[in-house]
Amino acid sequence: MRLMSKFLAVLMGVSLIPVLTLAYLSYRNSRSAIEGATINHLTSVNHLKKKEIETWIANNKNTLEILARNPFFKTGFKDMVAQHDSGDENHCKLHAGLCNSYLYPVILSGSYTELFILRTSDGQVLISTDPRQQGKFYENRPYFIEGMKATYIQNVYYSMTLQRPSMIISTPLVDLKGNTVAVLAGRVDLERLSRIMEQTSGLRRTEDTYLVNTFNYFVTEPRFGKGYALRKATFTKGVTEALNKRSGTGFYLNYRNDPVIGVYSWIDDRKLALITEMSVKEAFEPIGALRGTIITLCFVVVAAVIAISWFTSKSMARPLEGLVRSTQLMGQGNLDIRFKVTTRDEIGDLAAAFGHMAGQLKNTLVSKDSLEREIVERKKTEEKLNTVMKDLERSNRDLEQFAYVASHDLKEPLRMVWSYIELIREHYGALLDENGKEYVHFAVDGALRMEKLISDLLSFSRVSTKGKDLTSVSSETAFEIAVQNLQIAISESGAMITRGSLPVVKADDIQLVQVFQNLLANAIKFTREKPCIHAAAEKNGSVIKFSVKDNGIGIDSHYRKDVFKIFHRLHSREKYPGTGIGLALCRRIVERHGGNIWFESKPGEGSVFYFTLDACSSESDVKGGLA
Amino acid sequence: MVLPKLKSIMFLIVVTFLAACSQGDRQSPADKVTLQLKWSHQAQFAGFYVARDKGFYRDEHIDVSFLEGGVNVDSASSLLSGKADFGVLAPDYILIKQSENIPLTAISVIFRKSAVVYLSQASSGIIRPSDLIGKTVACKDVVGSVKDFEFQFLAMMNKLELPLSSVRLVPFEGDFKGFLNRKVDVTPTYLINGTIRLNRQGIKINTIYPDDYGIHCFSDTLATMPDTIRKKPDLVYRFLKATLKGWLFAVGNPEEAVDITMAYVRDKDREFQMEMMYALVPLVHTGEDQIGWMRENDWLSFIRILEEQRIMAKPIADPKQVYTMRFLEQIYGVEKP
Repeated sequence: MRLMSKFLAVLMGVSLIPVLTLAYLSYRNSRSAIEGATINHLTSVNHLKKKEIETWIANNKNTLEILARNPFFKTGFKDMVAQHDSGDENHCKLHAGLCNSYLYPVILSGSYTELFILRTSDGQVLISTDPRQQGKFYENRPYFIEGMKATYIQNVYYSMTLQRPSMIISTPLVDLKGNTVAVLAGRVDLERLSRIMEQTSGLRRTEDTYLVNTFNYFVTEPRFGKGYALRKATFTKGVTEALNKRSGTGFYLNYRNDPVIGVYSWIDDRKLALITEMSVKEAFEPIGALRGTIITLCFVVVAAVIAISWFTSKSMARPLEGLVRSTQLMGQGNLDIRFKVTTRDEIGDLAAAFGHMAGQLKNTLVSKDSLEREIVERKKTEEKLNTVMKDLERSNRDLEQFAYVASHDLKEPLRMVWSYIELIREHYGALLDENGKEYVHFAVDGALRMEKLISDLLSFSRVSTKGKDLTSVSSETAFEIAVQNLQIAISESGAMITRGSLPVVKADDIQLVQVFQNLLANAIKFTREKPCIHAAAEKNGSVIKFSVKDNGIGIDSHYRKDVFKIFHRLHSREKYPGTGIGLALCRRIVERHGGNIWFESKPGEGSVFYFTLDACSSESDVKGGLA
Repeated sequence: MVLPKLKSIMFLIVVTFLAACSQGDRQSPADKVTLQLKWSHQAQFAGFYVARDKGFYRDEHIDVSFLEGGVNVDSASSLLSGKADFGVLAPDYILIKQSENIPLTAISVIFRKSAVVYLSQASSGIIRPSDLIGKTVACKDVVGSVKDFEFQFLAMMNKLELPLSSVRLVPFEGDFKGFLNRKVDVTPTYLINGTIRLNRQGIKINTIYPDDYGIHCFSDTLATMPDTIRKKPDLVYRFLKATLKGWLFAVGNPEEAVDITMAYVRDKDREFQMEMMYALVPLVHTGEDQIGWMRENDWLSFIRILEEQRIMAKPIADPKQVYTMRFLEQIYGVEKP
């Protein structure tokens, strides 16, 4: 759910629920208020109409009764009735006069449409304000039968004579002796009744009041029906209830099938149902306006909520979205993101924290990068080195192999050369002149030297090719063997060789003898007078540093490196014979043992040759054939 | 486990069977009832049509069919022969048949007032019976059921003690020919028919209503054979109940009643049927008692009129034989409302 939607949902909930609740409550309250007001109004209208009807009828009744009490009807009228003869013109005139003087004024008052007097003997109409009705017999009419006894009101009925609805009030005409002489009847003006029903407050368009008789027939014209009076029946809930002699209110469909609020009552005296109705639609029209207002209010609130949540979510979401974009970019490796912190709230803090984090991350990544680069370079170098080393080892091996093979194989043809030159000297030496002999001598000498060179080369190469495993060797024994091997040279030169205590070391015993032998030989060779040579050893941790000191001619330190090169000579062969392999061989052997060899010397002051070897871990390791 | 299941299935079958049986009982063919009408189909019988079309008869489990009447139809023989179970008859016809020992029993009066009126042209100045002296009246009985024109007139004149000798009686003309060309001063007709037709022709008329002069007649009466009442009282009750319901509806909803009527009448002049309907409503629904109700006095007065006119073969020994309140009281209650 997006921030916006959440805001929207929350704000909607917070704002709409109270608004809707309030709206619903006010709607309901207004509705019930209007309902109550409408029912009150209709009820009062209903009551009013009922009273009006009753008053109107009572007034009509009074009018008739007052008329009946006229002294004329109490005195002379009796004789008039007795002498009635419709054929007699004088009588007719008399009747007309009576009509004019007593009945018409009442008609003019507007209560009755017709007034007539019925003879008690046979119900014949003696006099009527409507001449057409004179002479008719109404002896079976209730208003005649009852009217002879007392004032009687005949409810609205359909008059076949008039072919329209009619309502009659009748009252007996009594003479001074109290005898009923005739019945005075009046046809009330039903239009008045209808008008009473029709009169409305004028404010209500659909307010409708009408009377219904016990046969469910309209007695007065309803507002929205013409010719309904005694012609149309209605069976609405209100009518049914009222005809069951109940009064009340209700919501139901009226005679036009319109939903109405109805107030109904039963007029027991008249046996009529009085119905007052108003269309529900009109009654609740004000609510329609309220509903409109509520709906508008809801729309406004919704719009406001949307706007507020939009703005709020925007203002919150924008930095967050920026943050998201920036972190996405960071994720893609771009750490140069700058967080634009515009707000001072928690989001701003968050953005700042992110910015800081990005900076830190960048630094870390930079050092990491350089490290990685270094590692890569080192790896490359290492690889290169390995390659070079391998090449070197191979070439070294090849070279050693070559040297060995070459020196070994060279010896054979050389021996051949030398042997044949020897044969030449033996067999043809006598034939040769001095030059020839000298040449042969040179050839032999060259061959011998060559053989010596090859032998030396062979020994040099053999240091690694024919070397033995390193074992615990007594360096004293090795030294003594070397001295023994040099016995001839020692005795010739009269050299004095001394030594300190020499320890057991890890070495190839033959090669160690070789090193001592070469060093001693050199010391003897490069000493003009009586050589004094002293060998010593000192332990320095696990390394034993041997020293062979002489009192020879010394070596210029310029040649510090050159002296250890193979076949390198500092002096001419004539001055100091040799192939120049001795020190090279020493170096090679010492290096094979993992040690170093160097010298310290000043020309004319003798030299000290040093070399190091690994000490043996314990004396018990000493073994081997030299021990 | 199987046995209870079987039992319940058996039970279901039995219940279903019983239900089907009772259903069958209820759905047994409705009682066929034939009603002999007094005249050809028109709004005069709207209540019957309504009762049929609105399903009031069906609700009473009655399947009704109508037999049209007319000049050449003898309603009594329809009932006697059993062709019809009920008949809409003129009360005078019932009384006359009664006097002829043809027992017909009225069970309800539909037209509680007579529709017979006497018309004069407005310009003639004839407004009351006394004006008829020396005039020509076309009320002489022609054939069949139109007897009431004559006897009501004679009874009225008699009641008013007007000398009949001073009035010239000529036969009734259904087409009002003589009346229209003023050879006849006064013509009888039915409020629900002739009056409307003359009004439609634009003839201005005065109406003399016998009821205003002490001649309180009534008209369309529902009658059946005493045998039917004896043998099928429930059917009579149900038929009358549905019929009155139909009439109550018809008089309360004249327009709808006419709509229903239009399916029966041959003459498709709806306006005419409508006017007829409006004219007959006050006859059916007088504002007194209940629809279809009968009053002894009315019968007695009717009998008296017929006796005075010597129309019947012999006097009615017991008026109670002519009509029965039994079914009306069964429907509305004994007490008069």
